[in-house]
Amino acid sequence: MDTQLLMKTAVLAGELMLSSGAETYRVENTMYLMLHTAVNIELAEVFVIMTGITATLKVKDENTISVVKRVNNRSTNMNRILAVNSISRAYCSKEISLEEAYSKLMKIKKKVYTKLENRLSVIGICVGFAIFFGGNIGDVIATLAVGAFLTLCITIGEKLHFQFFLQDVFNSFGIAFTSILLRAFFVNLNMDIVIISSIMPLVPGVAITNAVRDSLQGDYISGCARILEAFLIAAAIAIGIGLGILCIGNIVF
Amino acid sequence: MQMTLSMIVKILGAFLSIFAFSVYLETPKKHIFKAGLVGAIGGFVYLAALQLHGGDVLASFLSALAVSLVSHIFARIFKTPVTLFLVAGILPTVPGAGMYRTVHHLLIEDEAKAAYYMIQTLEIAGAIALAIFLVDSVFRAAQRGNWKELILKHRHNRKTSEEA
Repeated sequence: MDTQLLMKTAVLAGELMLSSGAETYRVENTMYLMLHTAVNIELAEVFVIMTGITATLKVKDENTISVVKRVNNRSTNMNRILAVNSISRAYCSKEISLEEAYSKLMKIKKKVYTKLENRLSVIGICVGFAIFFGGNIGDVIATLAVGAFLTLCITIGEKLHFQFFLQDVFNSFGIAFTSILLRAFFVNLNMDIVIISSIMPLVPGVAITNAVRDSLQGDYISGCARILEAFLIAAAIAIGIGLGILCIGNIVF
Repeated sequence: MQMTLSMIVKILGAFLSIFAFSVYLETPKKHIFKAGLVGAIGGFVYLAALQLHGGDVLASFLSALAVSLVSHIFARIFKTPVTLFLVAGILPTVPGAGMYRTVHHLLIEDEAKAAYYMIQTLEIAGAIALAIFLVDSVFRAAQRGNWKELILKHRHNRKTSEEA
């Protein structure tokens, strides 16, 4: 068995999962099982935290292989988690060979949906929550407009390569700004509902969920990191909304 | 408790938003409908608990409990990771409203209300955590470790190859 390729495959699988927002224990388990398919193992260990991977493999009569991999970009991509999961399961149960597994991992698609579908989904989240929070027809239409403006903010942020904290501040600033502006023209608008539904695509629900599941698993470093991430996102949204209200609230009211 | 028309419309809203959210999270097409269903169940439990005069925190807790329960069951049935449904379905309970109200009251210099909403936000976040924690623990206790069986199988294979 080609241990170099095995290590390369395991690290690739781990990196793909970690950068797609999988829980830390899932990444560790997957890599551990893949490395343990080697024969005559003397040592195989994996250590994963939220921001990087370390793995070591020592096979009898061969040199030790150690890999450190820093994972910088993190977003949530369920499709990649599912795909890596099924490939690693197929490989570990010997349904596919190592070479096949590697080439399949390399071929995993980055995006399932087009950019347009992604943007429409943002608007969909906002409108759905406006209905859920009990807005009337006027509120829902206003939320639709604010959601459309939010997608514009997201696009601008992507073009200018904003750092994630600044991106959240910018997005929520845009939400507060347009909501208050709309309120100035339509006095009956329920501004609370419009703002609350529009910030729902930004709130750190994913971070909170993963933080709990990581901590429960005993990965306290990753758990703490994710809780910190959740607080940072919440603070960014708060700052953005606050800035928006401060900037335009005084002019309008 | 009665199912009023407005409640049905609200549940449809929850379905729509979670459906869209799972598209946003790049969930494969065959699973987005189920994820939306999980969100609708969470929304229903939340609204029902509010209607039965539970507080915001209790409603969030029950809703998160229902969502994680259904997510675990769906994950077992459809052989997918739990995160797929859990992350999307938990969204309606995430205290976005509390976060906004805290900031809003801070800015209009109503410190008492700001403190109230901040504590409520933290309580809801804690309630969600507790709910996920509970259901996860129960399912982990009941699980007969897929992964562990696989590991043992590989160890066994390795031993036999060493002997050969």
